[in-house]
Amino acid sequence: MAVAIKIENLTKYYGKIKALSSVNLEVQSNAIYAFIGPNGAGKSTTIRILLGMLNPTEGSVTTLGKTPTQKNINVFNDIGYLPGELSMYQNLTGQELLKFFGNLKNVTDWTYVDSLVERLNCEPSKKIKTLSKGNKQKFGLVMAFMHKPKLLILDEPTSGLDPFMQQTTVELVKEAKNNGSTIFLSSHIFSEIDKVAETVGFIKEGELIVEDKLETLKSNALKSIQIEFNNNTPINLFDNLDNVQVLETGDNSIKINVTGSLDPVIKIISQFEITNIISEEPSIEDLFMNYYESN
Amino acid sequence: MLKKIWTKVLFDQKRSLIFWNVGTLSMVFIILSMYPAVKDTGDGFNEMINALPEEMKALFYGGSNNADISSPAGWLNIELYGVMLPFILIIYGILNSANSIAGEESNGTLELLVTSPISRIQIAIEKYLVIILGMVIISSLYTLCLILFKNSFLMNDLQSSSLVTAGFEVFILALGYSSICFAMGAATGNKSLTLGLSFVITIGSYLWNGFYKFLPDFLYPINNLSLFKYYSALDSSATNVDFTELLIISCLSILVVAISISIFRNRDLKI
Repeated sequence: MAVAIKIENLTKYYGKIKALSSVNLEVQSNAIYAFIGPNGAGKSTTIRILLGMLNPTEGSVTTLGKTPTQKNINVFNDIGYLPGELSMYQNLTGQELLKFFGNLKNVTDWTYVDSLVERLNCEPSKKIKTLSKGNKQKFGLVMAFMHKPKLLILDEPTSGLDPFMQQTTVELVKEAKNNGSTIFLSSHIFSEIDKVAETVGFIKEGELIVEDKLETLKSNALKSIQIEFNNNTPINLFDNLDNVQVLETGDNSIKINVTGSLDPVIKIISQFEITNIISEEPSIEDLFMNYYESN
Repeated sequence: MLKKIWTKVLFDQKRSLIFWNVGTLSMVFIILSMYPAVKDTGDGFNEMINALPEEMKALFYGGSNNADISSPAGWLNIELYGVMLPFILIIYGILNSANSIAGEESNGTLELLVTSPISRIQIAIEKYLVIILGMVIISSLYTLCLILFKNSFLMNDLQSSSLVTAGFEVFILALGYSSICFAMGAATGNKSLTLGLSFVITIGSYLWNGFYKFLPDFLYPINNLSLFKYYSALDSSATNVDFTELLIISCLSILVVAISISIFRNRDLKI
């Protein structure tokens, strides 16, 4: 499978301040990659280097197989970008804004643009300066998707949107993937990442601390399980299992944290009469907090 | 209007360009209409002006020797070409130059522009050309206005060619300072720094050109850096106009802008 984004040993300094430190990252074509980190972790810096707005201090990046420099300006025909802090021409109406950027991006299918405007419930006749943050964000989304790019780089795509439009955005991302696009997504809203992301990368203080398939991370993550027995809770039940931490033992129940495979736990408890098992799948937020705190 | 960057910039500036032109033309018309009253009563003014030091005359009358207020060229020099028209066009050029690259970079709108499939060189050139176009429109319209109405206000002696030359000189002067401003904006991306420095350079070089003769001799060569040194305002005979100097200023302006665009092409954006 082709690689849509490749970052090798990327380091970026702002003066003496190190913003990124030897970041290595690959996003396969037609994947949805979520790039997660707190404010100031280096997400936007990475994105801006991917889009050629900043030069790497060390290392290299390629987007869609090309270095995103002024020599390869045509690569931007295939990239849709939504900035995290969206600034648009205030004096234009939404329609004028879309016309201007549509022309720059060589849009040919204006029917598709109209359908995006309709789905996102945009108000094209109003001046941008009169719109709320959420309504401006909708135009930002339309501009990112309007030319059906092969690569979408979306920084906080649902910022300021109401729940309905958040859902529409998730649908647009899924549709873009189904149409062959690659999506590189940065967000603080873990629920939306959970809905769409296939691979996630956590960045902390300029370093990529973990990168893996979301399913793999979840299956390897700490799982909280409560087991309820028909009789008294057996004593020293999990003493021989290194990956189990007993949190609380009641008369007929036990609460444990399990990392990695659940198989040994299931095999042990299967010897007893169980009335209930309550297991909570770790959310991406739990994963993030665990990795972030442990690093 | 919104198909290209330059048409978009023109679209943005349409209202302000109209106001600049209406304001300038109104001022030109008022000055023209006052001339018949001054023509016959100018001797008193001339005595007062002639009593001023040469440096002061240079400061207010654009360095021209023609300070006879009762002559059409003298009146227009004192009221228009000495200070007003050059500064109107320079201020227009500087404001728009600071707003073009540095302005868009400071307010964040450049981010969407540079991530479109259009090169930074093209963005900068189109924006620069629209600034020049705006200055051409303003200087052409007031020159045209003067040519059309000069005879109606008893300025029959004034040659149209002199007005065209003077208009061209004002344009080149404004082009020089606007280009310095544009170059600073493109190279730094800092609008407030660009705007502040541009006005300091413009006003500083204007004052230097007026007062440098009061200073020690060894400081005289510094005045070669003031573009006002090469501006001779409206001259009825047009003999003082050195077109080679104007050509050099134009070429240097383009060179400065070209270097700054090259920096803009490769530097980190401050978004």
